[in-house]
Amino acid sequence: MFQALTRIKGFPRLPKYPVALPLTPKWNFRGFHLVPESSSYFTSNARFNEVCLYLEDLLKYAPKIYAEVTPEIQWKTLRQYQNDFSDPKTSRVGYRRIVELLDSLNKISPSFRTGSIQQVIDRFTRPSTQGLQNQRKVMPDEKGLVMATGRRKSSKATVKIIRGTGEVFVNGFPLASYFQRLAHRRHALYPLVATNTLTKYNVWMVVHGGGPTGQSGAIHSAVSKALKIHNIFLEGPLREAGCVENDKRKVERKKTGQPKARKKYTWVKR
Amino acid sequence: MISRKLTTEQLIARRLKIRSWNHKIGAKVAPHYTPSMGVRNPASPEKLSMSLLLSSYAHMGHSTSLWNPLTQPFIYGKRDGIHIISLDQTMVYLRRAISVVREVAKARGVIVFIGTRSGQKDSVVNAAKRARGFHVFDRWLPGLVTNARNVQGNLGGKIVPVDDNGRVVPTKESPKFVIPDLIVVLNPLENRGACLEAQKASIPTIGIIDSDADPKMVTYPVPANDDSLRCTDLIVGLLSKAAEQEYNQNPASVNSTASYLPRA
Repeated sequence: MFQALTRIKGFPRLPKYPVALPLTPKWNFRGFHLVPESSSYFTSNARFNEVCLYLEDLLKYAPKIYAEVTPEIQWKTLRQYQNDFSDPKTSRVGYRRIVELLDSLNKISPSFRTGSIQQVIDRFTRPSTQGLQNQRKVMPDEKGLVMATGRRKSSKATVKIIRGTGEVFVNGFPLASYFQRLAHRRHALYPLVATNTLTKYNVWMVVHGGGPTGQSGAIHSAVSKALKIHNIFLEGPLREAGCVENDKRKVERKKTGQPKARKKYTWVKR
Repeated sequence: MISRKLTTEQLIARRLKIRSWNHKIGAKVAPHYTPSMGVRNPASPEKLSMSLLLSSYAHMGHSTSLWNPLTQPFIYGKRDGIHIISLDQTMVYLRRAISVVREVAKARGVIVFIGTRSGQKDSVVNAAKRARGFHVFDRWLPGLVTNARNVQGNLGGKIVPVDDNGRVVPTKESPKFVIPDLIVVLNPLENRGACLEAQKASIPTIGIIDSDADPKMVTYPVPANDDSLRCTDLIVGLLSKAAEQEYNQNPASVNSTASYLPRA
């Protein structure tokens, strides 16, 4: 359209950038104006800003009467929000801001909420899906066998527990012949000791990677997970004994300019 | 005395009852400035006066060591290490800016209000709503005007062809970008990119020029304090009220808030 205009006598040459036409009726001969629909058109994320501004507006004029107990609610996930509100640009950080505003709106006592507040809360509530199982529950199978995995340093252990008399086999060997040191044997079976279940379960495990300390730590982690699946009530004593937390320590990497991770070369004055 | 636990409704009813007994007692305080009223219900251009500008701290310039000598015509003098902006000049330039906004609103142009400082979001958003314009309270994206095809294309907003009354007009064109017809910048020093793009695309700009800013950056400088939120809220409120008055002149317009009933 600009190129057509430049052919008219007296119209300035076409510049490199799009130019604002003068506002007089002489140049507005089409009879209409091109106007953006949203007032946030010139912002980096118009839809997100629209939503935020609307929620902030609602909050500002909302009655600040809070319920004694805030009703429990699940908001839509980021993906659901992006689909429903046609706003694919919003990131997790942006959606966190929206959820913050929604939480403050949700705090308002339900009997004092206006129609628009309730509408907004309903629009953002996560639709309940009864068909979907949110949590995959792991149960012992028909024979009462439970399998669990554990990791420590570079070792991985797969442990199978079944009700029995207290026999323990590691990679086909009995525990006493696999681990030479008493400390390793004790650490591997500590979850059973802490819950007084040493003679109640038979344990069969396969462990690879790493050395004795890592492998015994992996077994320790796997056994405590398996015990939790067998009997949920054991979680309390296990947590108190310190068996539930993962030991995330790993070998620290060597750095350049140093012989090892922390060791430095001898300092020379000159 | 019986102590009982009251429900929320009972507490509120009791509070309102006590308030109805007590609220008429005491001196009547005249309506005074509050920041929220300055944003929600700003002064209209008829109320513009020296005392209004003075109370909004519009005369406070920046430190004398940060002075831009190009603002020399706007400076009244020095005091306490800062330059004092001459409110005579402010009145003149502000009145000119108001008439510019009026003409643009009359021709139904696209007005963009830019205010990127931390407390300016509310006033800029409300001003844009009032003037039927558009707001920018976060970063001004570089290339919004000079690289409109790409930047506005990526933003992907909807553009509607609209007649003078605000009604949608069916057309065959599918416009990809919109160039603003007027840009109002509350802090041109921090939005140099926006001012430069406006210069390149021949868009008139109105900007608040403090004693350390360059008045040549904008087309219609308004010498005033850009640090005080009260002052920037006042100026953007005045400009948006002027635009709103233009929209209300024509009651047939979709955007007008003027009532059809005659004033009693």
